[in-house]
Amino acid sequence: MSQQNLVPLATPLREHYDVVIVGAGIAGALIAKRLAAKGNHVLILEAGRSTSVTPDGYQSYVENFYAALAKGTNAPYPENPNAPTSLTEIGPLPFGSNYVRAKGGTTMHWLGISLRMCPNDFRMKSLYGVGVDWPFGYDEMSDYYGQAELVVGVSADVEDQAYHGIHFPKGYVYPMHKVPVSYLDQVTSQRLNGMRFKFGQETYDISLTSVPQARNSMPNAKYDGGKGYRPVGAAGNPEHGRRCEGNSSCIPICPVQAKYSALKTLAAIPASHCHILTQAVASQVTLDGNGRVSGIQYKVYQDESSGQHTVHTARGTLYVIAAHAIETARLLLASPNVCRGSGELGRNLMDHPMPVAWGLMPQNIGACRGPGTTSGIESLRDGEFRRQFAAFRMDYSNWGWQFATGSPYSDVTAAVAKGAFGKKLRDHLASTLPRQLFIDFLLEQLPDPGNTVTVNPQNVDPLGNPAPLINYDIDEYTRKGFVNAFKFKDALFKRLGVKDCTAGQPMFSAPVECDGQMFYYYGAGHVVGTHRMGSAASESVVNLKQRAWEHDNLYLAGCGNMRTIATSNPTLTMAALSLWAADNIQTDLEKRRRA
Amino acid sequence: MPPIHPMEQFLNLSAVLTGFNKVELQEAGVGREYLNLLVEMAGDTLCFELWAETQAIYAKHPGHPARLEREVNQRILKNPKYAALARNIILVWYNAIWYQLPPDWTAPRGANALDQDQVVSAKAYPEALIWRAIGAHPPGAKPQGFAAWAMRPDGAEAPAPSARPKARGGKA
Amino acid sequence: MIYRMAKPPGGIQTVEELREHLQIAIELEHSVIPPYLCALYSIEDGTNTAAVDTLHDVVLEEMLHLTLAANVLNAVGGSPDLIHPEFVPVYPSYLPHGNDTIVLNLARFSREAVEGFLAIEHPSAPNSPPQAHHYASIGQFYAAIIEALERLAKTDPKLFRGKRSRQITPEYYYNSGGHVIEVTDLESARRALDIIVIEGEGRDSIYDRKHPPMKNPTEELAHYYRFMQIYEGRFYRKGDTPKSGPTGGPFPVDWHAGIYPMRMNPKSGDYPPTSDLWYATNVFNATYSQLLHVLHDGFNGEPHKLVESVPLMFRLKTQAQGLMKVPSGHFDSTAGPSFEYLKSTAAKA
Repeated sequence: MSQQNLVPLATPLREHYDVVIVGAGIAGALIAKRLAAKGNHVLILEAGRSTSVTPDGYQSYVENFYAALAKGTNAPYPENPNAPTSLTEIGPLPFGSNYVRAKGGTTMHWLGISLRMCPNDFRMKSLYGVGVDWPFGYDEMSDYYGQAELVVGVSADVEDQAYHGIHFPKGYVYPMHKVPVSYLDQVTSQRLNGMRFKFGQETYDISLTSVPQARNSMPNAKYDGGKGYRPVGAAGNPEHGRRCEGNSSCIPICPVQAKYSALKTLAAIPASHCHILTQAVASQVTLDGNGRVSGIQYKVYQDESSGQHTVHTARGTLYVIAAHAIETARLLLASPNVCRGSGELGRNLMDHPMPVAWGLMPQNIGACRGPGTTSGIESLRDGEFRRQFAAFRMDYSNWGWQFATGSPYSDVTAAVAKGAFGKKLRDHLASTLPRQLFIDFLLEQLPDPGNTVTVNPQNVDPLGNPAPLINYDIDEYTRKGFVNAFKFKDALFKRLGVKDCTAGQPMFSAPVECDGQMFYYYGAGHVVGTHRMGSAASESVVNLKQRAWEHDNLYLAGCGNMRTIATSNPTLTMAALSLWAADNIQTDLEKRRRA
Repeated sequence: MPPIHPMEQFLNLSAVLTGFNKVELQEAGVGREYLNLLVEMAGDTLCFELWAETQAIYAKHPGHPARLEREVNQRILKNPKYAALARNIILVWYNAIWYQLPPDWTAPRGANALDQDQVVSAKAYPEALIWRAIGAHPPGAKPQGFAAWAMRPDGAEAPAPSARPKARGGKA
Repeated sequence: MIYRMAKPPGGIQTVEELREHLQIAIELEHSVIPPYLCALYSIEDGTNTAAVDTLHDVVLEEMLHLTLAANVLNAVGGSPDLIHPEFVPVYPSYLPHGNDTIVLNLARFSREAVEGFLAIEHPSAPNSPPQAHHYASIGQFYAAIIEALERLAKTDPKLFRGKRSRQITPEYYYNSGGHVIEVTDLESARRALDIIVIEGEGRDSIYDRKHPPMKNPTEELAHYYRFMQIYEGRFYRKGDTPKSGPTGGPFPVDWHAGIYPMRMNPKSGDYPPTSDLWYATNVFNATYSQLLHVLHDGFNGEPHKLVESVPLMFRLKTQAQGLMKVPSGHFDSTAGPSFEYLKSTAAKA
């Protein structure tokens, strides 16, 4: 499929920018917006295409999704050989996650869950003797979390969200009220009332909590001291998407853009201060004789189906790599002598291995309606048991079994194969499918230096860029987490009267053996850790300012900076970190100007 | 023999096979597309014979849904000549997906390069009847509206008054 | 035969007559919604997107006007009634309580239909007097109500005696966009009714507000001018006036492709009772009747119920477009939503 390089920039590229950013995903977009607002000139280099920015282009993605037989996370976004996302896996276990390389990045296909980490997540080593501590804690992040919740537009009610030590400034409210919880959630939370579960040595109260998400809901009139909040609609089409309408396809694409994607942030950056070059793949970070970054070499292609390209160099005062935890590590590893001091570059790759379970509720709960999830069980995200095994958070899915079994289509083919037809078929489907319950578990992983992203110079894409190689395993800590999560699942299903239908290997999942039992997991797409931040240059790639230790004009942004993954979907945390990085970069620029 | 109108008989047969009445099928607006697809996959002759069979069944049992079902089951769904095609008719209406015909169908008739598992088209995708059957909607299309998912689904019983879900974590 | 709603004649002398006329205002605002919806729904998804956006925005604003009229009626101690047997006109119908020159049809999108919309939203002639009945333009009708409000407020300090809890305030108004006004006194009542007029016909300009907007003029045009863009196939631009007409770039309209050939003014009675198409038409009518009940309850002291109106409106679209794909048996036309109120429908518990 050929794709011409789109609308040329109104003004030619500058010889020199204040900041050059690699990656037009959420991290790059947030940093670019904040820096451009301060009057800086920013260049963003994006490897992928720009299709989504026009309503017609975006609609073509939606139609790709409609026409796709396999409706996976990237069904709308055709694979681009010049900006590939396919991973070469070395093992021992499959790494199930993928991402998007295009304007908007992985937020094109994300679900939108926007959770804060719990305070204890920052202190795993001190508290539980496992993993590592962060060099700062929840309190230092709190203000940036609030800023992140504004810039992506999070819907939640604060009364629901103060658990496991998560706290908010007095009077804080989210920009929008929580997305209405589904009928399933309402029915379930009645039954859960009073449930207790023994995990490790302690017993925990179990409850269902509405989940904060970056999805347009009813604005909260109390936001910003009563000034309120105006939901941000579709990028380039702002009258649309100002309220979720229940398209139930958040993953992989929201047809109306009621879900946040980085496209919205990019659309709000004035072109006068930000140039975005798409189909421009950063290929190398080059250094001068003093170990400073002298430029970013990038390759521009016109046609996705051809490896023909031209080579250029972007120059700035400061550089930011925000290309995704895997791609950032890959780029740096493909660049000689960059960020090699600690030996941690590319290491400590973490994801949320995601086992799933499914069953039939005793009654019609209207499955397959609404956002992917509106509530979850957060009760076991923290506790003493973390000394022994992994914590988890549990998503309640509103979408029935589709993810694991190919429902509802598979239910129809199965029934028809058995000879069902006519009214009986219709009634059978009507009486069973609306009862479908599906849950998934996000299990934490500890940082393991053996889980890595590396590159093999022999293995290159059509542009000559080496592809990432993934070494991935799940350790005992997390495998025990699988076992305990499923014990919880059994107790939960019993409590709810759910007929457990979990059986066999769910579609596209990978097997892992834990304590002699076979489990199946997916990658949640929550890729973190590959260039972690820290207070010691010996064991981290970037310092507390998210600046590379060895190169004083290079910053890294995104989930790769995170030291642990804990149980929350990482995007909000990395958005907060990105805003923090932007402030650090601004301070740096000002200092340089004064000098 | 009275003249056979393919679309009319296709809808007649589809109604019995799917359990959706003709008007419900027409509301999907994909009848012509599906009929064309069938002819492409199974050929004019066989399809025509199928419509003739359908017409004969309807002529014998006008207005008797149970008898129509029985006859269609016997003479079409269980008839090796038509069975695979009839099953595919059900599946294409419910799923908007054409499934590759089984080997015992293809072997005597020869393979058709077009006969691959496929979503019929982006236009047909939202009209898959399975979503209507279960009171839902096709993901990415025909949204039900803000807060629809919070409301009791059609056909479900009313919930007892519920306490607002509270967030309580930590040890009991 | 064109339907005419039976209503007592006469001006507005008493509070009771004021309330009657505010009820008529609700009926009037409602009566144009089914015609606009038929035109909107008859456009196949993905085609004529500019016209779809216009019709969609106009419908949302009419829903707002309905709500504002209900707020004024509630404020003066009345009770909106959206479920009495004559609330819904029988189409084709004259515009309620007007001078029988404007006809409302349930028809597919076409030049004729848009011409009809222009007639509905036509600005009042300059210096035309307030007219409580047999009005030539909707603006005159509201002018008469405003005049009566001002007159009655002078002699009745307790005119705005309605319970505040019956007001629809912004947190209950779930449509994105739209500025619902809580009505508690003469000033807020005037503002609410002003919005209805200015959003419909403008006031001395093409815009739906006093001051011309900063950006995106199209969204800020009064309904009449938004329809004029479609009719003339041109956008308005800054500086245009009611007299100049639209002088901007081309407004894309395809009058021929992608429009369902819905028969005009469909009725469930077009089909044999209990036939599949009769039944399908009444499934739509049941949804529509449910919507009226939800709005009725919402406007009568249960504002929180309005959240249920949103899914019902989405359902109307799916069901209407389904009908528009079914051959009606009447030449080459298809069936369509008949917007007939079904008495047996009660609001969902």
